[in-house]
Amino acid sequence: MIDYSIGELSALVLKAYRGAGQSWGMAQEAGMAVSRLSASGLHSAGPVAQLLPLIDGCPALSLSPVHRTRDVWRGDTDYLCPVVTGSALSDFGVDSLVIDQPLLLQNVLQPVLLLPFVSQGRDTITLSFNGHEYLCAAGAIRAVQQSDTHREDASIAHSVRIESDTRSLHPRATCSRALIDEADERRLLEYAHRTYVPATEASRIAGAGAGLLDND
Amino acid sequence: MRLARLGAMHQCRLSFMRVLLRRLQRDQWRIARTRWEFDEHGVGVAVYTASGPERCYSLIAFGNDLDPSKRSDRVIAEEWDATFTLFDGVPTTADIERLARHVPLQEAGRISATELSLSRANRSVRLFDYVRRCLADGLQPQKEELDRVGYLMRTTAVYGSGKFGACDRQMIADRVEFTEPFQTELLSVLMIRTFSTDMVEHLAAVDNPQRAVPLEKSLKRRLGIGNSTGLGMAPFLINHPTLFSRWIQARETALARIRSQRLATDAEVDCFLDRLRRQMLLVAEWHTDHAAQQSKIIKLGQDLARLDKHTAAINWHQSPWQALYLWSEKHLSTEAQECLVSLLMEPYPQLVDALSASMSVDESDFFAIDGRMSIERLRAVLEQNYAFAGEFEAQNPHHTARFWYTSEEKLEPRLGERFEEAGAEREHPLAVARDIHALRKAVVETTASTVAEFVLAHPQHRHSVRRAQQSIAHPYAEVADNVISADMLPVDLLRCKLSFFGAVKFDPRSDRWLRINMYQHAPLIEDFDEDDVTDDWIYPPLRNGA
Repeated sequence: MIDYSIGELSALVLKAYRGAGQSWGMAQEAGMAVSRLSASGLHSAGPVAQLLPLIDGCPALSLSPVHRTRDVWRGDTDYLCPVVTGSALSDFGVDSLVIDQPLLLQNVLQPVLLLPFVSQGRDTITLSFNGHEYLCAAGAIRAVQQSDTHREDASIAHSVRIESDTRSLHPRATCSRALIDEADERRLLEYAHRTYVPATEASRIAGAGAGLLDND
Repeated sequence: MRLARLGAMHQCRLSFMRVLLRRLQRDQWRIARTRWEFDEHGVGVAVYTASGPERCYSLIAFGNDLDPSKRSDRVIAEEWDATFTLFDGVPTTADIERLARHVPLQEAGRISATELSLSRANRSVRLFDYVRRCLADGLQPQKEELDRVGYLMRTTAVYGSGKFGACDRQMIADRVEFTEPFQTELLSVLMIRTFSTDMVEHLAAVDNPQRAVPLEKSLKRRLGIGNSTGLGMAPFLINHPTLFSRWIQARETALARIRSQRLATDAEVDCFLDRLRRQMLLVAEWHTDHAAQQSKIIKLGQDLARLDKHTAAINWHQSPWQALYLWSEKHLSTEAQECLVSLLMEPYPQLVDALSASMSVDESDFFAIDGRMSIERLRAVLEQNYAFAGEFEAQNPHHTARFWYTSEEKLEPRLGERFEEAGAEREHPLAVARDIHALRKAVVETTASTVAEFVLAHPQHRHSVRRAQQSIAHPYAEVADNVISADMLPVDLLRCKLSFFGAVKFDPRSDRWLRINMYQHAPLIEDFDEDDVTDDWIYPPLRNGA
């Protein structure tokens, strides 16, 4: 495991998400999401690393909850991206979406990545899928039930249930670092690398504006 | 605020370097060298510890015997004369051993949650060897020679907040000594300044143990620490709109308070005139080979002399600062107008200094998009806050001539020529004028009624919508110019940020990188308890009083 600062991981994920062909604005959301998940002590680099190949080059709309009723959100044909869907939950105001009835999201990739968006509401909200249950409120996230089944269970959820909750959730001490798996780091770096521009001899000189004496 | 004006800014009472020194003096911080183990080639380690009321921080310095052919200010360098980290507390021997394996490698190493900054410095070949020779011969160097360069060493990068594994700023933001931005970086640089004079004395003593003398204190004080900064810093102001707005807002608030003063006391007038005349000395000491900056400096000197003369016509009992400011808008260059803004703050610590606490922001508080905002409201915001985007012409190649990107080689921001170089498809989202221009068009054409519906259908505009919403509470969030146009000067972005740091003597080496001086004439760390806290050190002493 590699010890990252949270800001450093967030910056890496921003680039990696962009490297998967997604918009800068959505990449910013992905960066912020891992920052919040990490601060809550949850693994975030792994879910993003696993998500990227699945959304790589996909048009954003194909990852979006284009069909939305009061109680069900789903995509057109493909799976929902948790960053796109989480952003939409946040944009529409998650508190108001679930105030009267639960909201079901159908076929969501890496649903744990919804948590940092759902947790931005004022009210306490429960998010559950595949036997996992999390309590979220005002930026805080707490796992209240973890599935006993295999870890892959968390990679795709055919149904994610989001509902308001009356329990209170006190913010825990913030985690200050993110430990990330080497394979996850490698994948994030690979995707981030796609945002870099290779140097040429001309750009080495002109790009940084050197060419003058710098050893005096 | 337009880029040309941002690029004409000067240090002021709100500059982070001055804020830091005021705090260190007010709270009676002590900085002591606690370890000095160097060989005759300057290879070894030093530790300086700054102790405050509640906590202490240590600069760990690693010296290197650098092959002169490898000495370069540019980010492509892989070795430096010295490398540094600021440690949270007092390091153990094990900490120093660990850091000795990483800090000299800089970007290629890893630091941890106990390190707050990572930096390196090279000797100024022009001055370091001269001072070393003088001291080894038992002589003091000539003041004029010291003033010509102004520093013995030049930092070429000072990384903070979470970089390369360092502690995130968020983790220490609640410590009172780090209320303002960049305090860890500038505390590091302050101690690096001391390291530079300690090192020259050490090597002079190595050269001639019998005759070598230490550098006189009055001469030490004339030496700051240099810095060489390039495009790596340029995107910062655009990438941190809410923070940038706080900086400008603090400055504008200070100016508004001062302009509204109905009269100035004799002491306030005396203070202003003293700083004005000392600023003129500072301008006379400001040298550069950059033709455009040279002309600006000459004009600044002339304008400050005009300003000095014009003060005789000011009625100090009738809104004097307002009169002076309005006069400057009509008669002085932008460089001199901005200099006046800084000078006006000098007599008013009580109106200005506390504003520094408002210059930080938790950016995550303003991150979320308000999806319930109506499209009409978004249109109005774009109309009101982005007049500069109206000047952008999408079809004009002059307006889209450049693109910002990250270089694969050094992972640093760079500026490319869109129509001549490959890679524009990997452009970074810094072209605010262009992107807001496109957003305006899209919000006119959309059938969405709320922002949430709009960004879901048009994710390519999401980053611009976020900026636009941030601009509502942050009126100075934007560099109000097109930063991809053919005639944009990146050095203006650098100058603006560095002026907030408190840098002086901006010396552009091209339109894309520049050198500066920091802490020149500042009290020496061993004298903090002897100097009063008048906070006027940045202005050189008048000659008859020096």
